[in-house]
Amino acid sequence: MTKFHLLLRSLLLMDLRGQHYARATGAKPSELIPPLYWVVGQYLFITAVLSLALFTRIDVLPYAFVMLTVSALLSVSAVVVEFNEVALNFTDVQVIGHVPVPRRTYAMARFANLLAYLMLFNVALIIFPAIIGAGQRGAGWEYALAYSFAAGCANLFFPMLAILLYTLRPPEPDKTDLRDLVAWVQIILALVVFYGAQMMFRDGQHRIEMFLTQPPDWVRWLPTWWLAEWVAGVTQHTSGNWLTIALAIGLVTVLTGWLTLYRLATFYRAIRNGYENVRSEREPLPATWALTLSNWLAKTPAGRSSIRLTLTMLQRDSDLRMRMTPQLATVAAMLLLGLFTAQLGNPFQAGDGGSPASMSIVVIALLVMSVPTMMHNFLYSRDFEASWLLASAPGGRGGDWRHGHGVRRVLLWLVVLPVLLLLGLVFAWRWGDPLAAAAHVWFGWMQCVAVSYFALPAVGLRVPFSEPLARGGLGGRIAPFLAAVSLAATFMGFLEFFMAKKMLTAVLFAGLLLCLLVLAKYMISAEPSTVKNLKRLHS
Amino acid sequence: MKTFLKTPRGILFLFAATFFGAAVLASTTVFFRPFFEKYVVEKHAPPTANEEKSLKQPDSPENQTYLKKLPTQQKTRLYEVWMQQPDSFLADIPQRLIRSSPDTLLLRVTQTFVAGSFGQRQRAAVFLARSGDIAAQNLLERERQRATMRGEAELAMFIKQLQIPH
Repeated sequence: MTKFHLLLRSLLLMDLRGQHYARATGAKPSELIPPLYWVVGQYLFITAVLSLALFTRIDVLPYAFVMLTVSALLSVSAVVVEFNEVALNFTDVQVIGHVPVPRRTYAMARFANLLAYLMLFNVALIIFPAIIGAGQRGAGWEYALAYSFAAGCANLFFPMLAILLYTLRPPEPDKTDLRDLVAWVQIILALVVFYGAQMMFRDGQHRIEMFLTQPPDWVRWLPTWWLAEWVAGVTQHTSGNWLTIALAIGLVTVLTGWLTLYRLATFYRAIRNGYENVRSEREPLPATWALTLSNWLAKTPAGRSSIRLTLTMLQRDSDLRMRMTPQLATVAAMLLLGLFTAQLGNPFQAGDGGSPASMSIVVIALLVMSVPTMMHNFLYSRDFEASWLLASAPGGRGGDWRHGHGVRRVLLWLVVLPVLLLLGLVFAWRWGDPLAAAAHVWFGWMQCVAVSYFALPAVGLRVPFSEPLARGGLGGRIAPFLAAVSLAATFMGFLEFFMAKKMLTAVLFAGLLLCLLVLAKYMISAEPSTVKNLKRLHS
Repeated sequence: MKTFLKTPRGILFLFAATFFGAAVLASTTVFFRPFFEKYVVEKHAPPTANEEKSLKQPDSPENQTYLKKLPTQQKTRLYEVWMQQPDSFLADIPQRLIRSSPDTLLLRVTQTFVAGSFGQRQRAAVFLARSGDIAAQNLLERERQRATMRGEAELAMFIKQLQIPH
């Protein structure tokens, strides 16, 4: 066996034995079904839903275009989110640095490893669109073959292009912004596909089908549109030089692969040349703005220290940010759905003249529901053993929840408030009524603050980042509390829907929210029996 | 079985089984195409008495002005009313509607060709053929070609027969 074969075999075995594909799915390595399976399952699910939703509704060309675009986006996101563990591994040099393996051989093994994953994703992304697409009117077995070839090339070309672009930058092992961004794209795409499919069935004006049948000019400039045109040409026998184009597509893919391999070899040479030794291992001190913010948000030293810790963890721990992504992505997806289906109406508008306001209320309710889940996320960390330092620190004022309050404030002021302000801007633009938008967002803010108080004992947030991530830990134990919050948020949504249309009832609703807020704050400071019950619920 | 599924071979088996299942599911779906096509249909609200009345008015300068002044939504609504019972109204209604607002109406008819059922697309073709408008005839020809590409020989033939007199 050559060094290449040995390396490739060990890389694949390591990957199959130790599953680390948790970033995109939130799955844990200890589960029976491997996390990689959920990634593949997610791709199968998205392509299946989309293929079925579009089946018989649009022609071959737009069908191929949508499926090619979505599969290319998903394969790029898969590679960008995970390639730290597949193609560009900074820790490799510590393991094989002393072994006499040529950099090119190593790069080839890593590249082949990446190709194995790309092929796996390719199969998952191609099965449904190729087979169901072949059943479209005007398609046939030629479609299945042409689509598989085009999608196979696109799903190799775009991820390799992403890696190529990434390797052009100097190696930065801690750089996770891009991965976070792409993971966001992946999750939002899944939600938009899911909700968008529903929209297609509900929209009486068939805007999606019309858009896809008569796409704007900019769409015709997209590479996936060119590929789709080729697929349609082959399927409907309208392309005279389909073989030449197929060869060109294949050649471009192979050339990109060769370039990627070359850049990977350069990359591994760069990290071998002692990049790791030059890099500073010291964590940066909290920025001045973080210190000022913590002084402003907390009165006690315990509160300030937990705020600084939370800010540092938010900056450093990409897993923490990723765990918060699905909740906020749901809000974003619902907002987009509301905009596209014209259901993002003004709840303060009396009468039936405007568009329905259901989604405007649901968006806020979803944000309220996400607060306890996000607070719960702050309980977990990979470095949970270090939490003894915080737990054993001198108490000071603030009671049991002195550290929890710090986390709560960071979440409210740095996550929830910016989201609410953004929502407020969208509402103000959509309704043309900034005052109503401000009031709607203010109602949401009061609910979020109240829920954050109730959530402290319910999630048991005494010492943040003090527990390891365990199977079912994220969702299981706070499920009853989440159900209660969902019910309450839905009820408040209904109340707002009926009370916001008249000034008097709207003021009453605001008063009700204020009472709720005062009650929550009083409960948490006085620790009456209700809090004990919530604690019992948690334990 | 649990132990096997945790081995590399087990994981590969899991993927293979899933892909096989997905392929079977996808192939099964294709056989149910008529079921899916049943749901490709435009939903039109039933016509009101006023709407029916305005489509039964004979052509006159007043009627033309009335049609031109109608909001876009109501013009497309009249098209929907016509689509539900094309033979109940005067034969020149398509011509009058398209003349009142060609772009809006042609876009609306295109929507029927995209999202309508087989019967609705046939009626939309009749609407275009009866309009006598050149842009409408071009659209009709495009739809005939599209029907041919989609393998809908029956619809393509139907449109061709409509095109002969013009």
